[in-house]
Amino acid sequence: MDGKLVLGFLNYLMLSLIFIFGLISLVVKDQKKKLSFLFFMLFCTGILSYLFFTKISFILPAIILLFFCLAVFLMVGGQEYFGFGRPVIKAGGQTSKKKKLEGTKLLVIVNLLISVFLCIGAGILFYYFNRDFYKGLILVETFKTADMAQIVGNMGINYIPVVLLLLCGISSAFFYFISILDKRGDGN
Amino acid sequence: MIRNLLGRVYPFYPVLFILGSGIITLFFGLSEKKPYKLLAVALSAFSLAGSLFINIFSFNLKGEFNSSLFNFGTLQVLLNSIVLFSAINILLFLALFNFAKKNFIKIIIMFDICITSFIFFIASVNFIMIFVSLVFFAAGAFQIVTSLSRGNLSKSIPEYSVKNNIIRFFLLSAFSLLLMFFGFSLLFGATDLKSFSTVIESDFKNTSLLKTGFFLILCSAFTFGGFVPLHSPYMKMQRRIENTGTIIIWLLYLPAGLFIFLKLKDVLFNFLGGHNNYIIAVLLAVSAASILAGNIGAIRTTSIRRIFSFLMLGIMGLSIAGFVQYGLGLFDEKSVMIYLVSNVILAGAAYIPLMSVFYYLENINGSDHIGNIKGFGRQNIYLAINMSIIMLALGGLPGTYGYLARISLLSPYIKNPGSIFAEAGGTFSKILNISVIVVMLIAWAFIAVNMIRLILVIYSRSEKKTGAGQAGFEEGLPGVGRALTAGPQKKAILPVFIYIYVTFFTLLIILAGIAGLFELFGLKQLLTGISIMSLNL
Amino acid sequence: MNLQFIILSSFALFLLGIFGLSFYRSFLSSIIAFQFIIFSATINFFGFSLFLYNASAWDKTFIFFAFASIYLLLFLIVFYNYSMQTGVYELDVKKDFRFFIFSRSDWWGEDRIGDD
Repeated sequence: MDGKLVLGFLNYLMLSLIFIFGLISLVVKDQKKKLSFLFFMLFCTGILSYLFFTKISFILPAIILLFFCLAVFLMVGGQEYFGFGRPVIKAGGQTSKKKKLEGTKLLVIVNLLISVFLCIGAGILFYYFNRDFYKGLILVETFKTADMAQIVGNMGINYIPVVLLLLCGISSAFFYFISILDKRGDGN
Repeated sequence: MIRNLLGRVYPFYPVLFILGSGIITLFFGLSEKKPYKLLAVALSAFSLAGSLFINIFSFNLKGEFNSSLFNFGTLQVLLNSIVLFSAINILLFLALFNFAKKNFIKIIIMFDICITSFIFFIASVNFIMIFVSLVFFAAGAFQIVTSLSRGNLSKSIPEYSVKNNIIRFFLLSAFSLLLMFFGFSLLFGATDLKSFSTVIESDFKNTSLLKTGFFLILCSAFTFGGFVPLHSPYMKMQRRIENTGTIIIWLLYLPAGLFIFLKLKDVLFNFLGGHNNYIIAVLLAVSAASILAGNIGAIRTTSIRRIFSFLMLGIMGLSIAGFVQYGLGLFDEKSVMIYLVSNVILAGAAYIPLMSVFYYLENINGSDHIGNIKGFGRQNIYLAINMSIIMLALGGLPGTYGYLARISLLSPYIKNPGSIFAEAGGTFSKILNISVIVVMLIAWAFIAVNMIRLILVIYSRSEKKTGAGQAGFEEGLPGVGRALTAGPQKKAILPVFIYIYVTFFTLLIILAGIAGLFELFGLKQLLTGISIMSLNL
Repeated sequence: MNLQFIILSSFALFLLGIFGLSFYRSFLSSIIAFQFIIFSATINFFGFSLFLYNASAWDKTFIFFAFASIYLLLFLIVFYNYSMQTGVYELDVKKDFRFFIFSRSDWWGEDRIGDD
């Protein structure tokens, strides 16, 4: 099979899988399953970026992303494990459960319909408004992407203040975690 | 060598000062002892004051600065000065209300870094720099607000409620930043230029993908600022967090939202300048919704925090109205910037002294119910007079700075009443003009009503203490989160410092108002070197 | 590979994120919806870079710095949400984290503390 065809097919497959896994991730109720499908979606995005010839330049953001997802997974797991130590905070008196259930169902359906129609409307608007943009486009003849040395060079030469800001932000976060993890709490 | 280094660092001398004080504070960072806390406050205060001075002095000496990442001109000097002045006052609030906290020094360090991010944001023009500095500023604000709001602050507000609403607000903040990120990705598709001004000057400015990207970034600006209809997280959070946290949101976070519009000014001026009535109508709708929701909502509540949160929403809406006037051809570019900045200055100058008193009273009485300030005017006559002047200034009393900020929006119609019904723009334009006047007058009236209401409560007689206590109303649900209602007002003994502090702001507002009036009538400038009407822009 | 299809797909993913934020109430769903928006922007950057610009390093730089900053913010929020320092568990059982709620206390009058 022609290499370009294979590449094209893989791209479309990955894009579809990203969308499908994302949808499933939203729809399932179990938190761990949500995160599992999110991870699959992440994996597909990684493959897609590889198919976009980004090579190693996606690795750096992917590492950050991976740490984040792992951290969320651990915290969700910890919450579920420890979460039954105290009673659930309740509010309000007894109300008629049946009426409340029917009312809630109607609200949920209305909310769902509004959200879906708004999103579809926005999608249609985006498609028609930007249709002409692609007509006059001059695409590159061969695919070339910047390598790691170029990217690091660009950061080093042009974006030193951003790196400084990043370091300041991480330092601030460090103090924040020390502050929030203090088991003595925050008495006055 | 030092001169070389200093030359390369310009215009970020304030950053040097603030980070320098932060680094020195680090040596005492984990201490909880009072002398070290005092040292941290003193260092931070001196660094902020020094930054404020060096910010203006270095600009006068070295002039404008332009690079691929930053642009530093008169506007940036002014915005930096506002931020640094606000930061000094926030530091005062931190010292007054949070000094005893165990993590006080860590909060000071986080605060210094947050201000540094904000200063970078003000000067930035490159998309990466704008985005990253804004994200770190939002992260810094989150860190400070959550650190301040730890622990059971108020018996009437359960901690889970505080936590949930902080998370909700900052999720909205994160969403706005992600919208901005997506908008930048679309801009990248249209052109690989890296700042708004270069994009607008290029041939790509009418590309559809570019317009979509700009639209999304504009949406992110509205979302970040908590404009209607996404104001709910902001309103809920302000009612629940610690005192100084609310000041940080009012004096730093929300102005940052307005400064995003200043970043987008080239874009907005380009698209509004073509007399595009639909864009003007949308801007007017959002502005009017925020003004009306803010002012009308404030009337129906008895929580002082909620009143001022609503009013701030109204002020945010008013600030955007300047762009509407530009679209209608009544403001030039400079007037829009002056108008927006004046509103930020007015809000800061009014909120700082007022909330310093109201929060003291809240601490004494245990809640921020409006009934707890009844009779305050009869017990503290001097302070009440000052507060009344400040509140009337916020309401737009002639002779104060508030009047100048309010009248500037209506001044084109006053100077040239015929512009309302000008034939040039067509019927739609006339409708827009009339709508602006109506919205402005309603806003002015409602703010004034809200302020007069507060003044009347302050001067009304306080209820005497009875055995049974006082019947109030219930804010929360039965058994959960019942707010303390208005009780008999305890005599408020405020430190002398507060009297001096409030007087300072009262004099500032009156002096600025009189100086502005002098300029308006073409008389000599009262404040030599500083033009109140043009803010030296 | 068609650039228009890639961009439309990424916008569909973006809209899925918007849908997730507007419909779902839980905290985790909001975080997941955020990931969709981030991924869609990343796909945009990579797609445009591949088809329109030869060896552009700017978009990769932007993605790196954007990821570092935005994920720090998100991690702070997630950490704060799940941290057990306050001793409060089952936080978002009754909590609605949607941004737009049309209830009386959000627009008018008094705030109902305890109803969240």
